[in-house]
Amino acid sequence: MASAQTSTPQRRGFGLASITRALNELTIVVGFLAISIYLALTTPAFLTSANILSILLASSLIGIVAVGETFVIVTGGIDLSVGSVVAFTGVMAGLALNAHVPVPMAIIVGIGIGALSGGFIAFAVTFLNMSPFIVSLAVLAMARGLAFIVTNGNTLFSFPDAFDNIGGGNLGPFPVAALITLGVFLVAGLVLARTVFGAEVYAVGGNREAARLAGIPVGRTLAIVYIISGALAGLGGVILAGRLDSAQPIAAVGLELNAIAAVVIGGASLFGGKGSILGTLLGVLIIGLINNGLTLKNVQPFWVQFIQGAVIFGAVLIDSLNQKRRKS
Amino acid sequence: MANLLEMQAISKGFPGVKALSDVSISLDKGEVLGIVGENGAGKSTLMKILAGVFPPDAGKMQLEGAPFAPHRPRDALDAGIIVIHQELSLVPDRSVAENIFLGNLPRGALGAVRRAQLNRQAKTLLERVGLAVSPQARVRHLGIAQQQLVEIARALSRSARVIVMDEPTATLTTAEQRILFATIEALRDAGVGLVFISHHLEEVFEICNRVTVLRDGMAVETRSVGDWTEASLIQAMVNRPIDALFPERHAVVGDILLEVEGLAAPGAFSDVSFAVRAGEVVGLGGLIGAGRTEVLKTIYGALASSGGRVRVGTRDARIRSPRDAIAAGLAFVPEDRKGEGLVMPFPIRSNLALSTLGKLSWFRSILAPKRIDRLADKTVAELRIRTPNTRQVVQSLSGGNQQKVVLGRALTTHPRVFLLDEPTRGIDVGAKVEVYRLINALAEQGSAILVVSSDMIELLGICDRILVMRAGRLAGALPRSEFSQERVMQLAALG
Repeated sequence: MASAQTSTPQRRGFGLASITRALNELTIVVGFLAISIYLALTTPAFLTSANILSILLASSLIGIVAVGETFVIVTGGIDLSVGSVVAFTGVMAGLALNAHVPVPMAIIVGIGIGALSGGFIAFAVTFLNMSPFIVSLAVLAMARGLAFIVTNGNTLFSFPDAFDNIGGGNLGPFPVAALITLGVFLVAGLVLARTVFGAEVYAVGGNREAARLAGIPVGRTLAIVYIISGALAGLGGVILAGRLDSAQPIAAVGLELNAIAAVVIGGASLFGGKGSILGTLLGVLIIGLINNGLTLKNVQPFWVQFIQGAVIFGAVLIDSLNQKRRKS
Repeated sequence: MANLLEMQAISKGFPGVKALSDVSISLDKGEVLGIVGENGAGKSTLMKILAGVFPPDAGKMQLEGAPFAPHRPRDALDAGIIVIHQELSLVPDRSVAENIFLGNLPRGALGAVRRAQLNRQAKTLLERVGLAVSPQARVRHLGIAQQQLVEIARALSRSARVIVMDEPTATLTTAEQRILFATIEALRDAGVGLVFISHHLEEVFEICNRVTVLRDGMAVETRSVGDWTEASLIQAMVNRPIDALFPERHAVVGDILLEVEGLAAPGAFSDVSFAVRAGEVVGLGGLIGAGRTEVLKTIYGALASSGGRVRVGTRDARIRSPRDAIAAGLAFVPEDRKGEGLVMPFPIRSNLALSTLGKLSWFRSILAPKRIDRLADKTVAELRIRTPNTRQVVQSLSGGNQQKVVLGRALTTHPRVFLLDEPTRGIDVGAKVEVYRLINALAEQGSAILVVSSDMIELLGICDRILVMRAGRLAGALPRSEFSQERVMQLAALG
C-alpha cells in the first residue's frame, strides 16, 4: 500500500515534467523543419548552396550576439545595447586598421571596447542598482552616438585581407565566420550548462535573493554576464566589418531585437532562470529562416519589420503565459 | 437594540490551516472594540472578511440589522466600512485633498476635477480629525501620524460607519499617539463604531470600551475593559495546552560560539548584545516587527549593520555578505521559504548544491554532477525528504519537505552556528517534530542555535534560553527556570 502511494506521484510528476520539457524543444525543432520544408517547396532559390551560405552568414552575427544575450536573459536581465555596440566596435576596429594597427590588435580593440561597454552596464546594474532595461537603452543611444562621432558619420573601408577573412573568408569549404560562431556556441553551451559560473547564472535568475542568501556572489555573476554580452557584441562588430570590408556607424540597427527574439524563441524566459544555448541556436536558425524567407518571397521591407516585431510579441506572449501557469 | 455590526459564527480555512472557527463579535455605535491576540490568532483574517477581501466559509454579517455580504473590497467601502492598514495606502506625491478623495474626486463637466470644491470639502474633513495642514500640502511632507489622520479623513469622506485600525500606533511617537487617540475619541462620540487592533496592551486599556481576545482562530472571550486586567488578558491570549511535541535533548553546553555586542541596524534595532554557546538553543521571541528577523539577517551579513561586533568562536568575524557569513561558519534559514530560501522552479539537487558549488566541481569551476548527486542523495536520506528522486522541482514538494531542503542546504557548509528564522512556519505537525529533532541533534553535535519563532509554545518547548525583543531592543532574557508564556508576553508587549 505504502509503495503504491509513493510510486504513483513519482510516475506522474516525472512524466509530466519531461513531456512539457520535450514538448518545448520539440516545438522549436518542428517549427524549424516546417518553415524549411515550406520554403523548399515554394521557393526554388531556397535550397541553393549560395542561399544556405547567406543564411549561415547572417545567422552568425545574430547568433554570436544572441549567445551573450542568453547569459543576460537567464539572469533575468536584458541588454538592448548590442546592436549599437556592434556598430561602435566595428568602426573602432576600422579606425584602428586605418591607423595601421596590426590586425590582431584591431580585433582586440573591437572585442575590448565591447567588453568595456558591457562593464559600464554591469557597473550601473550592480553598484548603482539601476534597471538593466533602462541602462542598456541608454547605452544603445550612447554607443550609436559615439559611432557617428568617431567617424563623423562616414563609412570606413579598405581593410587588410587578413581582417576581411574573419567575416567573409573560407577555411576549406566552411565560412570562417560560421566556424567562429560554432565555436562560440560550443564554449558558451559548456559554460552555461557545465560550470559553477553557469549554475550561478541560473540561480541568480531563478531567485536572486535566495541565491544571495545561499552565498552566491550575485553582483559578480551579473557583472560577468553583461561583460560577456558586450565582448560578444564586439566580436560581432569585427565579423560584420570584415564581411562587408567596411564599417558603418548605422550598421546593425535593430539587431538586439533579432537576438532577443532568438533567445526567447529558444525557450528562455524573460523572467530569468530558464534558457539554454542549444535553444538559442535553434532560435537563431528560425529567425535566420524567417528573415531569409521574407527576402526570397519579395516581401516589402516595411512588412519585414512588422513581421519580426510580431514574432517577438508571440514569443514573449508564450513566455508570459507559461510564467502565469507556473505561478498558479 | 440592533448592534451597528454583527459578525456571527464566522469560519474561514485556508489550505492546511483553519484560520477562524466560529468567531462572533459585535460592535455598537459610539464604541471602540479592542481585538487582541498573538501573531496568527486570526485578527487579520477576520478583518479581511469584514473588508470584503475574501468571503467567510461559514457565518454571516449584519450591518445595522441588514444582511451584509461584501463580494469585494468596494462593497465594504460603499457600505461605510473602512479598514486602515498598518501600511498606509496614500499617494505620497499628491495633495492631502486629492488623497482624501482618491477614487472619489468631485468632477465637473468634461470630467475636470473641481479644485475649489475639493479643497473646501477636504478642509472641513481635516478640521473634524483635528489635522491642521493645508489641503494642498503634499502627503510626502507629513509625519506618519498626520498621514494616518489623512486616512481617517478619507474614511469620513466616505461617510464611514465602521473604522478598523490595524496596529495604528506601531510607528507613532507618544505625541502622535495622543493626537490619534483624541481623534478616535471624537469619532466615537460622533457615533462611529471603531475596531482597534493592537499588541500594545496599555493602549488597549486606555482607548477601548470592550476587548475581545482571539486565540488560535477562536474568539475566547469578550469583556468590557474594566473587567480585564493585564494579567487576565495575557492569560487569555496565550493559554493553550502544551502538546508533547518536543523531544528531549541531552546536549552538553560548551564554549561561546556566537557573540554579538552592541549590534545595530538603522531603523530596525539597536544595542543588541548576547552570546550563544555550543550545544545551546537560544530563542529570540517578540512580536512581529520587533526586529527579530533583522537581527538574524544582520548577523548573517544580509542586512547592513550600523555598529557593533559579531564574534564567531574566538575570532572577530568581519561579515559583509552572506558569503562571508558562510565562510565564517554561519548558516541561515530564512522565514520566507519561497521568496528567500529556495529557487522554486529548480530541482532539489540544484537547490541543495547552491552553497557548495565550488566543492562540487573540478578546479572550483567545472561542475561534477556525480558529486552533486551524492550530496543530494545523502541529504535527502538524512533529512528524510519525501520525494521520488532529487530531480523533482522543489515547487512540487510539500511545505515540510521544502523546509527540509532549505535546512539540508544549510548543513552542506558544515556550519557551527545556525540562525533559524521561523523554521516551522506553515509546515505540518509531523514535519515540525522532525525539525525539532534535527535542532536537537545539531545541538548535541556541539552547534550553537539561535531560533526566531512567533509560536511561543515552540520557543518554550525547544529553547534553553529565550531572549525577548520589543521595538528593536532586547527587553529581557529568560532562563529555562523562568519560562512561562505570561513572562514572554509581558516582555514582548509591555517591555
